[in-house]
Amino acid sequence: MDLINPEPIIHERKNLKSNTDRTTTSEDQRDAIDPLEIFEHIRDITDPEHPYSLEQLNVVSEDLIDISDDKSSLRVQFTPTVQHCSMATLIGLCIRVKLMRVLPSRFKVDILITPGGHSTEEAVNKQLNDKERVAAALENPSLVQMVNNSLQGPKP
Amino acid sequence: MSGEELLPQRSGDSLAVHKARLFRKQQDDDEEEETAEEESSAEDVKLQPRIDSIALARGRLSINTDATSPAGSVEESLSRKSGGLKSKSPKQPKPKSPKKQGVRTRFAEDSPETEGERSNSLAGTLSNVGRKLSEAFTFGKSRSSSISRGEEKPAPEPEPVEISAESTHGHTDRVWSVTWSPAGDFLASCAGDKTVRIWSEAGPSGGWHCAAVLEDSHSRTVRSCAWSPGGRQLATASFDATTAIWQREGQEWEQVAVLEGHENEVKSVAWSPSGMLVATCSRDKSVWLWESLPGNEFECVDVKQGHSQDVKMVAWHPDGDVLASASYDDTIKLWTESDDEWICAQTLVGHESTVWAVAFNTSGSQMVSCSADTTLRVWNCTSNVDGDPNWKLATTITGYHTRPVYSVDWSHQNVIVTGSGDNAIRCFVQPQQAPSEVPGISLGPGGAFQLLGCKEQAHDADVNCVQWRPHHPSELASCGDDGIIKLWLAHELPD
Repeated sequence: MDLINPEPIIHERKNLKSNTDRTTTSEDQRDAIDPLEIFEHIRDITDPEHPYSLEQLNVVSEDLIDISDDKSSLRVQFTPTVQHCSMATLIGLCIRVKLMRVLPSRFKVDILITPGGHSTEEAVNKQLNDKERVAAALENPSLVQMVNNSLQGPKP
Repeated sequence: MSGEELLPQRSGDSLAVHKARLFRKQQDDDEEEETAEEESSAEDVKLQPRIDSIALARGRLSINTDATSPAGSVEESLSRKSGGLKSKSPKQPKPKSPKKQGVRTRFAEDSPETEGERSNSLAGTLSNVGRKLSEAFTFGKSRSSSISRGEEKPAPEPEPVEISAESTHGHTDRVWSVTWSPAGDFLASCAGDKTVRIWSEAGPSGGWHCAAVLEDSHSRTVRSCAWSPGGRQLATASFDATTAIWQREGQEWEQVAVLEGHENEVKSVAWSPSGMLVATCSRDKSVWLWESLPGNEFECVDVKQGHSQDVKMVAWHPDGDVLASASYDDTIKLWTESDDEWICAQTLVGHESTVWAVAFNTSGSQMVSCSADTTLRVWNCTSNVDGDPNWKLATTITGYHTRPVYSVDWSHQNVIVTGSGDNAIRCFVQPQQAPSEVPGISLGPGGAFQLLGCKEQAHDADVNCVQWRPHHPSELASCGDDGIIKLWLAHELPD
């Protein structure tokens, strides 16, 4: 089977300073969700093609995440490994589904290809941000299976 | 992508007639069992990752979060307890660790004061022309705190009065659409839970109850529904690529026909004002026209290709001779009949993204469209030299919505209402046509539309649909991704 990108560049998994060392003094205090937290959720999503994570393939990174907890808005940009990657929509969908499952429902999430990152980025972005299309796609069992496989995380 | 086959239905092969789809009045106690049965007998394997398991307590919508988060978990989503809601264990095996309850949809009743305060503080900033949206009525079952029409909760002076929000329960997934019957006595709602619910007023106390649940029919999300002009039939359009026709006999609803033919998800259905035609549209980029024949036979009379993308909505002009279709291709097409064939008379270009909906004013002289580009566009109908209608952009209403606008409707009092992904419901009016009793509106330049009022956080999630109630001026229904349906009353503020 021909891979779209037979020789991906693998990056190291970064050791990022985590917020979890902070102890919350009271239950009422809630730390604002920051880009690192979002990144922690999506870094280990597996690429559909290769047994590597999106972080290792540099598809997602912490600096491509913009979040405003106050405004309940989040924008995640991702960079497909190659310009014509046909998996781009699927990768974006995996990111969306993962975030849908872990974030409070108040968040408005935009998933976009890093500008200049794909030959048909407008078309991919439009699909990824059309909630009716996403909802219909997620009623397709085989597509959901593919997404779930990617969300399982790195294989042991 | 969905793999459904095109069924050859063009030449009026009619349709499987499904008899014995009986209406069942949903009792609170039965709800849990019945929904459980429904899920386990699903025809296909339906994985719904967005809502992995559903709390069934009185239709509360609860979104389960994935607890497999690594170090640095999202504190907020996991620490919010759902206070007693039980989750149903997932039917299909999933390669995940057990989930924890996530965010629970906030019921308005949980914190009416907070909601009231928040709305009141917005009232001062947003409304400057003397009208405002507030919530009225109850829309649920056995609410001991139900508030009847006209009774209003006292609000802190001198802000405008807010009626405590009470809203309906029942759907177990996002509600995509609400549609009033032509007489304004029934409200049909359709949802991702594959059902359609019919709501009616429960009596003089002003409460609402669920009169019927239309289920076991569609195998996927029901996206939209439309009443026949006589109010006796209801068409329901689904992602399962079919449109079902239901008929009411007294208290019972029965499925009498199924329109098949679209290649994939049907997004919208609309009944012509004469009752003779039904239009449907789909992600397959086509618009289908069906003729309603005696004996609940429906014959496809035309299939219109023309849009280059997914068609999101169809709507009939009040005169019944023009059909508008709104599309993911950013355009609106107007279709008219010419020699037994339907043609695309005009394509309206202007929106910069998906057009989600269109609505005509009462006289049919104007049309408003709403889009993912966060604007509304108002189009005027003029006649060109041949007497054919010609639509032109009159004005663009911009700068108000911050997310896609999913729904728009135009009232007989000439007020435009919108529902948006920014959780708000807004009303706009064209000053020189504004009802005379609205104080404080000055004529804008060139008849520009003005914001009449805005209800922020009308829902705790995207507002998917808004519709004015026929024969009940200033009343409207809304529904959203929070699974809730609300009934609103736009009323004058004391000046």
